[in-house]
Amino acid sequence: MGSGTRIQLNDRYAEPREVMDFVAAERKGMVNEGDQVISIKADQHTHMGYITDIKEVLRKSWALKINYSASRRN
Amino acid sequence: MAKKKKKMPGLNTSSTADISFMLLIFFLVTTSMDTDMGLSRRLPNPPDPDQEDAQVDIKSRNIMYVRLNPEGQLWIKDEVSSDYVDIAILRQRAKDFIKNEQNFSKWPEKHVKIIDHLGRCFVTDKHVISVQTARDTPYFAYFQVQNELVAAYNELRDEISKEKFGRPYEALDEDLKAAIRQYYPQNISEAEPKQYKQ
Repeated sequence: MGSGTRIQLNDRYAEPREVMDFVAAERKGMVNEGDQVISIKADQHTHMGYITDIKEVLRKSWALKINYSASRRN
Repeated sequence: MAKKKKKMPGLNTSSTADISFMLLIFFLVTTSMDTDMGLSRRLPNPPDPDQEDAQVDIKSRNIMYVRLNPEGQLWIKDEVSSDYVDIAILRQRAKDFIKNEQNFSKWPEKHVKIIDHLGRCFVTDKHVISVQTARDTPYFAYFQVQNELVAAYNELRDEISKEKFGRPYEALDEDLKAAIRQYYPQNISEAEPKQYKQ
């Protein structure tokens, strides 16, 4: 698959434009749509351009609650 | 002479059950079911395509610019200074800026605000911290900045909570927490705010 940056949605690889449909589809399966939280887990060396693009797509899908995944310090 | 069929000795399989138990115990002990921890954020509403470019005019004293370059170096600018700094000083700088205890003219303006449960308060709620990265900035640098800024707000909220209510912020009821949030609102912008020079 190469060593470039790739976006993974749940358990499969995807392109940035697929994120919007994915978020909407996941939201439909939820009991309370307002509780949807998107967890963003990115390698520390990821370029911010990818993160910013995804955040733009999330904003357009009204998926505004996000969580930057991280482990506890020390 | 009758040929005696050579019988292969059967393998002793009585310990296969033990092996399976050992494997089971090994994986039970070494598996970790990690709960996802992280920094929770709320994105701003998407821009309204019909609405005109809503540029808010903000006084330059009210803005602190936080920039990250592709090398992950941190640059802070406010009315007082603009320079490259180490991440370790961001939290205190942000706290000083947001609190503006002495109502220093080059830091956010303070004005009176009536807040439930707190009464008449002198707050800097017009302040904005504008964060911007380059497309190649490492995610780690951005995350550290977000973490330090959120920590700055949390520490300020804790301090005011202990001062006014005698308890840390987390120990408060929801309506008191809402009051503290009104005192120190989290105004972190990731868009370029337009500003006019005073």
